[in-house]
Amino acid sequence: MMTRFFLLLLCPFFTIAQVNEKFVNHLVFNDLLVEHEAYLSRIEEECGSFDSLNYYRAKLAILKKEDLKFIEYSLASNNLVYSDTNLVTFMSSRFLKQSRSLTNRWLGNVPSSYWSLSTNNIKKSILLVENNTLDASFLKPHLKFYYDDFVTYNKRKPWVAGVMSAIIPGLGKLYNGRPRSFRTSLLVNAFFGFQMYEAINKRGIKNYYSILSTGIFSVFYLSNIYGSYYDLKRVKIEKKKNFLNEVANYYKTDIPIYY
Amino acid sequence: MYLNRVSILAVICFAISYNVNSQNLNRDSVLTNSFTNYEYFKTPNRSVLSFKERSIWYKINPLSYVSIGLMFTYQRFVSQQLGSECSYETSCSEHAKKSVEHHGIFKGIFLGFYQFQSCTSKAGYDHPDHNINKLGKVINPVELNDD
Repeated sequence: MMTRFFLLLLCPFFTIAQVNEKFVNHLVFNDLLVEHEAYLSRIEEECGSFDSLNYYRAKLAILKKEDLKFIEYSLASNNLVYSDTNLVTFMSSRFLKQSRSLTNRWLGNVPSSYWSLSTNNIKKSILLVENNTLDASFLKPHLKFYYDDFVTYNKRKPWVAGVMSAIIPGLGKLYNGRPRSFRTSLLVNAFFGFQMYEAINKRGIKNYYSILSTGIFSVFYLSNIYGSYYDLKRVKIEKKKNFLNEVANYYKTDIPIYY
Repeated sequence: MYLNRVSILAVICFAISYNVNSQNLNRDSVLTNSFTNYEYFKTPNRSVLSFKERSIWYKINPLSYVSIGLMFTYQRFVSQQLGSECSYETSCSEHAKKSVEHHGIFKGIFLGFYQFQSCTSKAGYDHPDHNINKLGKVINPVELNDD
């Protein structure tokens, strides 16, 4: 009876293999990633996989910038990673800088009861970008500026940029919000346009030099039209990413994940 | 090359639109300091334009092979002699090549020439911060990645 009782007392020492947090912190602050990995692997070899080990493995994956492995370990940690609200917010903002699909995948795993206010706002911002009709009142003034910028450009139409470039070469770039390259485009087109006009005027349309200069001008002129049309699509994506990047920067936690 | 008064005026307008970087004392000191901190950036390897991902019509189109030849000649024999500094991460010719591979000949050439027209020393100001790499060059991918 007594033996069984003592064995029962010793049970926690055999079953719960704790990761030495101070030692892990020492490894992290001295940039000993290989030793860190080896230490966690050794524990896994000796005691098998358990929740807190997966938690530390997930944190190691952050240091090694292995995002998919982080998601894998956080799933295996049985909500231990999710209960660290600071970590959830940190990773949400980090994933948001990379891609929306990755953030949605990550937040899909995290139960909403573990979401902080920042995480909630990150999710709302993603939904807001996908559907502009939603309420944007939760945004801070700093973020509202970037959101309004995104909405303004999102309403613009690529074919209008193309038409504007056809009327005055480079005008589509102004419409796309690229004023610095407008001047170059206008001057290049004006130069080749004048050259073509003069060549045709002086030498005739059948002259080889006129044909060459017409060809050069046509390529520049048409490329400006198609480029402006295509560039607006790119600008819309840029503005969207710019807004989401600002959201990620605003809500990222300043608390370190190792302390 | 035949140039009359209007063309000359256009050339002058184009020339004065750029900042004149004349040599002065300030620039001399920058120049002398740059010798110690000079970093050699190796030109990335340039692949030959390929149509592996394109349809059979592009593969049998003679214009495809003309564009391959022109790009090859320009990049191997002309571009290397110019030694110019691009404000974009991918140079115009490389961007055109990738665009041709991705979008086809006409759209690709148009996009290449569009970048050529957009290239100024201040092109970076037209782009958001996340679109600028560590060297201060504009990131210009061929595909639109809305994710």
